[in-house]
Amino acid sequence: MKKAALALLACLGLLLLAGAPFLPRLVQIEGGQVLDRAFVLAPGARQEVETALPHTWPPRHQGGDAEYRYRLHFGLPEAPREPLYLFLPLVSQRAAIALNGVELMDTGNRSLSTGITSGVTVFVRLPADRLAAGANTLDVRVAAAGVMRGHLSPPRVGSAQALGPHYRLGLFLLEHLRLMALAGQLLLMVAVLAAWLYRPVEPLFGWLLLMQVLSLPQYAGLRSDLPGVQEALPYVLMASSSASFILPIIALLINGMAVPRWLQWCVAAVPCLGIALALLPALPVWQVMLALSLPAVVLAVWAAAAITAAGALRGVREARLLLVPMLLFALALLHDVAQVAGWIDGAVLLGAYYRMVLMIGIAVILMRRLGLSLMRLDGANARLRQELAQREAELARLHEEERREAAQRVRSEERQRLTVDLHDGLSGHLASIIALAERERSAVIERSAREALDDLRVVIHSLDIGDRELTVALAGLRERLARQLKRLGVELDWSTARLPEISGVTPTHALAVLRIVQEAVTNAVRHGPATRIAVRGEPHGAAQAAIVVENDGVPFPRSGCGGGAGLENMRRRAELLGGEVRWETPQGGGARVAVLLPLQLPVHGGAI
Amino acid sequence: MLLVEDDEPLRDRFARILAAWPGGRLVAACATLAEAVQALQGARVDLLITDLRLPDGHGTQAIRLLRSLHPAAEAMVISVLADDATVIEAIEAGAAGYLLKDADSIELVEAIEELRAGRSPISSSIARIIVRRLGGAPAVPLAEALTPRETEILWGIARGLTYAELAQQLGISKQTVPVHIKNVYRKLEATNRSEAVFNATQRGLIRL
Repeated sequence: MKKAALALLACLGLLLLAGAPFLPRLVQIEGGQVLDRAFVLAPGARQEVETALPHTWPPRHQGGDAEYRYRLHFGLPEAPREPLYLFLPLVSQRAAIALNGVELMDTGNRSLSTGITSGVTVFVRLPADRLAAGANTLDVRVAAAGVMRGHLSPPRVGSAQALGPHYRLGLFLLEHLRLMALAGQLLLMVAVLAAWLYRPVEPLFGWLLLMQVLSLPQYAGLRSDLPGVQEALPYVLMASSSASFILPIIALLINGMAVPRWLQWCVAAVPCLGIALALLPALPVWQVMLALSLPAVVLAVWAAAAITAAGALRGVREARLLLVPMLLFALALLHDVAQVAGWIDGAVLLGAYYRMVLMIGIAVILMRRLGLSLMRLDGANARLRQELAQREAELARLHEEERREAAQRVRSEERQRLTVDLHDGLSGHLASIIALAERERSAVIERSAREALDDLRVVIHSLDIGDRELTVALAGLRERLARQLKRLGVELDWSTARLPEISGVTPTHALAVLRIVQEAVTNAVRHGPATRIAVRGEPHGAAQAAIVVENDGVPFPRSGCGGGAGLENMRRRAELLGGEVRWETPQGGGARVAVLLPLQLPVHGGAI
Repeated sequence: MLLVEDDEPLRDRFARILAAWPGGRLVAACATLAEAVQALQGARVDLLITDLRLPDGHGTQAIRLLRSLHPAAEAMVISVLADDATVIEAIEAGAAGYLLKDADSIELVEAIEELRAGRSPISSSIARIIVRRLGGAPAVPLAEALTPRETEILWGIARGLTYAELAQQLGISKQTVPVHIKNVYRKLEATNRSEAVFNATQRGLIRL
């Protein structure tokens, strides 16, 4: 809803803007006497011709100065009581006014020279002692320079109250606006200069700056009363027209398209060509300007408008913002061309005014960019801050983790070293004891010592077990069990190839598992008697692994398997690991112990 | 055969067993490294059975001496724990077998016969160490690279497979597995020897 209202307002504003020059015409001037017939003496003509006012000169292609004389008659019924004023709504470019033969004023002597592209409005007091009752004659000499067609709109004679407001309006529209346009251009130039200095990588700013700078000389016309300016004017205008060739470049940049090289060269090439041709004595400068420069400029501006329209249709935001100002400017240019060429009548060249509209469009684009980049900056800042906070939190967490791990590592290394140290000396002595026991033929002592030594080996071995290396620990156990069982004459059938990978294995856990399996095998040997023991590692269901110890000895007693601290130890150890031990009697006889373990061992369990 | 062991009861025990074995002749039973060196230089020894922890030195010195004097001779290490570090050290010095100190007579004789037949024992943890050595960083480049078969066997044992399972998997005879192991040990020894030379030249001890 808001968007539609805004769009509507924008359209109305733009229509107002577009129609601004025509507004004065809409306003009906009331009051006073209108003089709408005059006798015109054209330069080089011998006779006066009666014509209706407003009158625009026929198109001139020669250039140079020209002067038309207008003679107007008006009648006063009687000597006027109040002061009478003469109001010329629009005259282009200079006018010298004489009343009944006495010169009243010459607009060329005014304080402000308004240059070639604008008409002037005149408001002059008719001196009472010059006015006569009855017929009065006004002589208006209208002069114009260059290729401008002079223009005289119907003068009015009336009182100050009636005519004054119209004069002031005309003054504002025709003269003050022009200066405002110049001021606006200068202001925008400074702004673009600042933008370009701070962000030279953006080509748009550079070209905008160049365009502003190059179009400044067009205001040289303001000083056309200075000697030499008038002659230099066409060249200056042609040089300045290079600004128009920058307009398509700007349109391309706003659309985000690449600017072709030849276009960039045109900016300098076409005006240079024009000036070079004009410098040739054979060609009159105004002709060259009309034939080459002007069409090129019109083409360039309309090309820019077309590019912007294409961009706007495609959805480029900035192109949409620039479209209407660009179109208005292009239309104004066409209007000016038509006026100079003689196809339409009028005295005011609109180009200068609508250039201001174009500059407003550019300023809006620049401000929009500023706003957007600030917004993006805010967003980026917020996002970066958030990311930073996240990273810092992550870093702190990792740091903490690492510290904990390092402490743990140090502890476990210490423990390992102590353990190895302890067992080193111990194991040597045990081996000695075994030898001595053998010599003394004490089988009991020998067996005890051997068991002690084997247990030591289990402990030492388990220290080296890392995560997921349970099979290695079991392999070590197998090697030891194979020795023992071979000595006893029991066959060992061992396979852990199918045991699934168990994670979370620490030396403590490994030792616990080894002790459980060792106990199971020891029991099988002791209570069997068994001739064959099979140990299998295999998966058990989806989330467990099983180590199964089977022997072909006496089955477990049916009355449950309560007895023995050894069994109790096995059960307890298995529970600490998060698993369980099952004693079963398989079909074919014998006994089976199944040690079930989870695939992920608990972190702090399994303490022996 | 030469026996080196500093613990008296153990030395007596082994000496008794070896003396009773008809397959070989015990040259001497030494208690210190010095005695062992003397005996090595004196007599012709083709089997050395030595402990590593000697009062006046390290058993590996005796092994190296043996290998340099009689390259065809074999060395076996007796160790109470047969932990990985000890065994690897011995293998790098040139031992081709190891034995636990509480081995009984049957085991001892079997071990000697296996060694004679060109087969070497290995445990899964030792295999793991070797695999880690070869694959870890900094990787130890071998003087002579392992064959693919040898690598497969090492990996399999490191994973905990039995000789039977390994032989079945690779389609070879169970008896050939220890033979491959011995080849691996020899390569480790060669690497270690060249490494020692390299280190010594680095330190300027040997001028090549």
